[in-house]
Amino acid sequence: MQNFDRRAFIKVGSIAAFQWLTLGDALKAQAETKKGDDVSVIHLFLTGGMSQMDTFDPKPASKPEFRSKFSPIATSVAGVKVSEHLPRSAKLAHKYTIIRSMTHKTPVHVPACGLILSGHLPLSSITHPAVGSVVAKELGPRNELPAFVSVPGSTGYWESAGYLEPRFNPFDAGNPNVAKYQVRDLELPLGVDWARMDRRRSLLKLADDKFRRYDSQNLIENMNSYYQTAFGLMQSERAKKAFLIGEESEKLRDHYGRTSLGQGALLARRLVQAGVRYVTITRGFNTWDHHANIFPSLSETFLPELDMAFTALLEDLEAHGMLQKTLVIVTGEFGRTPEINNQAGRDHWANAFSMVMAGAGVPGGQVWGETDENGAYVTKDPVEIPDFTATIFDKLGINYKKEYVNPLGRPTKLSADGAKPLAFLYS
Amino acid sequence: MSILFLLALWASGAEARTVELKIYPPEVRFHAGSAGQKILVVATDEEGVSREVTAAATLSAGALAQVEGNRVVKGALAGTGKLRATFDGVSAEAPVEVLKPRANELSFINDIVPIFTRADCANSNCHGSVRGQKGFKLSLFGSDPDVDYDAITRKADGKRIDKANPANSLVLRKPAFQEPHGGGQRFKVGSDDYNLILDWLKRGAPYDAAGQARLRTLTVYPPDWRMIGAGTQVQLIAVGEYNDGSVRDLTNAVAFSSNIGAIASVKPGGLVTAEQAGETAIMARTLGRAAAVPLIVVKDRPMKNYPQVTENNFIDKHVFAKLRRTNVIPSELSTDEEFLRRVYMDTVGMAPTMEEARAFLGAKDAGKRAKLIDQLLERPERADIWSMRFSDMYRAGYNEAGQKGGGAYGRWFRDQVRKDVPYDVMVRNMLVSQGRHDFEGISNFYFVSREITPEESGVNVSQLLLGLQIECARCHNHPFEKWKQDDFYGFAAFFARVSRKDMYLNNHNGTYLKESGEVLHPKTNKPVTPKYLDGDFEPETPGTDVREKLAKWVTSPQNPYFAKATVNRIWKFFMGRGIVEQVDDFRVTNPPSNAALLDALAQEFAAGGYSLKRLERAILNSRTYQLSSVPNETNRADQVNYSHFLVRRLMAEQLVDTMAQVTGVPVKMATQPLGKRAMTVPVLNFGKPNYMMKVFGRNDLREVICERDTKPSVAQVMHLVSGDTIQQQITAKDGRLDAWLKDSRMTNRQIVENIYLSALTRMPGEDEMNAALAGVSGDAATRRQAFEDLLWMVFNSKEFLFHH
Repeated sequence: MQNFDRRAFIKVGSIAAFQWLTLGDALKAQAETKKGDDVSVIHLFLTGGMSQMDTFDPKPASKPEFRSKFSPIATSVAGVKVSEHLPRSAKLAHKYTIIRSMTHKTPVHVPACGLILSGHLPLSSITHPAVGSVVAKELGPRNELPAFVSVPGSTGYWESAGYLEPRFNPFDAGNPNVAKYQVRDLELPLGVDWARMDRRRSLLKLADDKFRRYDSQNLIENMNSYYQTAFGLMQSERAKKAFLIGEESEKLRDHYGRTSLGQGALLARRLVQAGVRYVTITRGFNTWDHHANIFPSLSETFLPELDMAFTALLEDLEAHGMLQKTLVIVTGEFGRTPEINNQAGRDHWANAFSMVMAGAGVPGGQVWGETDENGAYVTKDPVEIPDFTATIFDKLGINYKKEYVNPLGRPTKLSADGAKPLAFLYS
Repeated sequence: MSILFLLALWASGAEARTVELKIYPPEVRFHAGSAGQKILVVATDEEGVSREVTAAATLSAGALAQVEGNRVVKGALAGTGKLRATFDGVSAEAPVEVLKPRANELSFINDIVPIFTRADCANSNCHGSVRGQKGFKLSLFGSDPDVDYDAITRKADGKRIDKANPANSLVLRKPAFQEPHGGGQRFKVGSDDYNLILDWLKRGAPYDAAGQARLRTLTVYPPDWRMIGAGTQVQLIAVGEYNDGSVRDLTNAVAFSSNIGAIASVKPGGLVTAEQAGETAIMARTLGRAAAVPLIVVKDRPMKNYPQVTENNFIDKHVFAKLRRTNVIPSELSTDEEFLRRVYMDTVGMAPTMEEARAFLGAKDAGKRAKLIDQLLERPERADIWSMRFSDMYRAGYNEAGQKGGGAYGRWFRDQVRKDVPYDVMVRNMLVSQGRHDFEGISNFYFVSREITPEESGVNVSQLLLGLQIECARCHNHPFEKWKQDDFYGFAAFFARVSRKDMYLNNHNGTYLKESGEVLHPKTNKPVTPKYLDGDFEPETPGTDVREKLAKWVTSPQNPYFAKATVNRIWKFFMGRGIVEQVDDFRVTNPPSNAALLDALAQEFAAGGYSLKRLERAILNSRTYQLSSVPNETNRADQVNYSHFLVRRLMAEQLVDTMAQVTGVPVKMATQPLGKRAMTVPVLNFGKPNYMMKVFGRNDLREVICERDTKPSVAQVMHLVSGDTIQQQITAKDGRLDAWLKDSRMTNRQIVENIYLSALTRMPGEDEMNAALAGVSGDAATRRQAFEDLLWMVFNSKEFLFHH
């Protein structure tokens, strides 16, 4: 008998098409290349919230009590200035767009992370799939590497497949900025070689075949498809190589910076090169949340780290001929208050914040939008989050107006209703 | 008896003798001079097959009323009488009441609004969606006539109506497709719908006078139905009762739809056609009301020689009745091995030890299953698994308070279960709870979000305790149900004073009742008075805690939701699927797969004083629970009627604790002493006790719909294949494997048997024994490796991972 349940029914309608999709099918599906299919995304996700005034939207004429301790410096683009602690970024300003007019209304970390990563404000009963998960679902893996990878790992449920099948969750790569970095469980345990693993697998096949008569729901086939994917990944020379960050020269690794963000960015380049579609990199959840002592934190640690990782990534992508096909995004979930609090920090501020984008056809040397003299409110060309996610989908050749039916039975567009790609991000 | 033999005995399809005749509606009521009331005559034969025979029946309504076209009863004068139907020598009677003529005025609410619902304009994909369509937004399924009136006559500068030239109104030209219309033609020029709207426009498009009768109930007949063979049809009829006592035949006025059109389709006017075997429901909607007819489509007439299946208790009676109705034969009784493993997993949270297994399997006592159940229900571990179920359900340890609050909450649940505190008492106490989250576990009930807000509390209570999803109504009226924003905020208002504060210093979170507090309605910005769902207002009197009244209302035997929602969840713990699924989505348009079973469980639960243990005992002793999961030819496709035990992935805790028991090697849980069972480790959101628990879906507990994620993932499988959990389990020295290997009296065969019995609760087959022994050679290291491989295989086997 079929079941009654509306939600399950909807799932059958909208999701099951992918449920039994094996890697082979996915590869077959990929044979017909669509527009944008060769585009990938690397998102340097500065969770906690990057201060706009102290980075890409300096406000030297703001009220003195709001004013950044950092001076603006000139960039490679006439008239455009950024913080003095982003010197390498300043030199590459002709390669990216700064959006100074990002805005939303949710200055709370978790829902704002959900908004930035999915294009939807979370409901307490629903987790919307992150853009990377939608990409994994819509485009599938390019090869035996997963489509969506998080470095070092998903920061939480907001960075997940949400109500989609868990197979679209990001694959956690771990922190590459450690000696002897390796991906968890990717290698066989000590003392087990593939010959021994094959013996184990043949024993396992005997057992699973025997158990099959219990299964009226295709559960075993489904689980076995995950075994195939896992073995495919574990035995893939391409995957192993992609994770071998030690193959890169010490010089290049130093250039990216010996930080989790820097090495994460380098790993991201390797992964995209090997076929991964979407990589999110963080230095851990909420680390950019500078409620206290913001200036030394930024100038000594966070900005040098970002400056190195971001610029090295742009240069490296370009050197590999990948920048035209790789969308690089730098943003937190919101900005920070122009007002400096009594702990010498800045608090949450979503009314205006900055985002930087490059690659995949994003024009270089562009500044979009303006904020007032304090960096508090957008005064020109505000940009809403759903338009930002619609742009990502569009650049990847995914119809951003496509509807999923969420678990409450409500049809939900990939980017919230009315969203459309941002024309200024196309050249 | 073999299944194939039974299949051969399926009835030939010859029609059997009629034994019962029924008339719908059971009381025929209409107004004198009105269009009357459609009726249905249903004949049931000796094999229990019902069919509609209205056209073939002999009908008479006496002097008072006439039967038109053998279908509609109408009459000119008020009075009472009887309708008599005869078919195949059997008769039935229904009382007929002809009411006084109703005022014949055209009503916007009752005549015009339903047109837009039936013509599919006001559904959630079109103008009824939250955002409307192309600027024209109607209320969903006509739930709010005020909104519709405003949209039609006022919005967009009133351009949708043309009072000077009514036929030129957009509200007619668009649906009649005289103008380009994305939705195409909804009705034709000159149709009844068209003329009715035109008539209303000609009268100046008035709104109804105050006190206009409003639809109170919508009922569809027959109440449920089984169709035999694709292509068979049945006519449904819909009857509306209004709050002024008037009635209407709404068969042609409601919007009919099928939940699964591939199983049965329905045409406007209520004619249903069976498409293929399966179950669905036909919905009828108008003016924000909905009714559903559960529908079964089967291929063939009932099997003549359906086997006699033993019923252990009331559960089996209802489950097997439904199976029989759908021509499905339940699976065989599970083997003792299958039953043993299953019942241990569900009550103790682990497979039985070898010793326990040998004792049970060796016993010859016919009543040994019931005896075992009685013993297991007294095991202390039972409180641990219940604590885990409740911790999942109530999201214990959701917050940063995490370990402290979640731990205390879990301990409170454990204690309640150990004492078998009645569930209604538990719930009443939770609803009125206050206190420090780390000291008083119960006070975490409200602490399921970063902040305690009345809105979150309302969502939480309605979904967890009543099985109702009202969250949609936070922003807009519910798309499938009667809940409106007023209902949502009225319910939230019960929790207006419930708040969180940091007690004493940091990290001592608590739930407390503020001196005052109110919930503001987002539209009016005025304070909302607490209001029960589907019930009355309950203003808070000073000096009292209105939650006490709410707690009584929730757990009252008269509450139509509480007992059903609770037994449905408990049923799902054991059976893998709710009778209503999702378990928190009770609504007219999502009917239970077995209403009689749900009712019986709820009654039993209430009659038993809401004792979890008593209900658990009934479920475990039912033959339904003890059926094998191996399907037969008739029930392989059934996933909703419990014809066979539903195979599903075990919980992470059950897997980890069983592994540790098999190998004698404990699995380390973060911050816990070595050897602590996973099932007793508090659920935490921020930080999982170990990686295995993380990848095997211990909850994040964020979503109110918080059930375990039992779906596979690549990380999960990689961890099973090469992760340190199993690697350590099988290679650690001085566990049970080493003890067996060192024991010179122990043969290789015996070790294989021990592994199978302790991990899979059964002895290996000869083929399995041979395969296992094939790798075992004399050299001690190689011998150990072979058994490591066997353990690896067992822990990776689906038989181990899946509840069956």
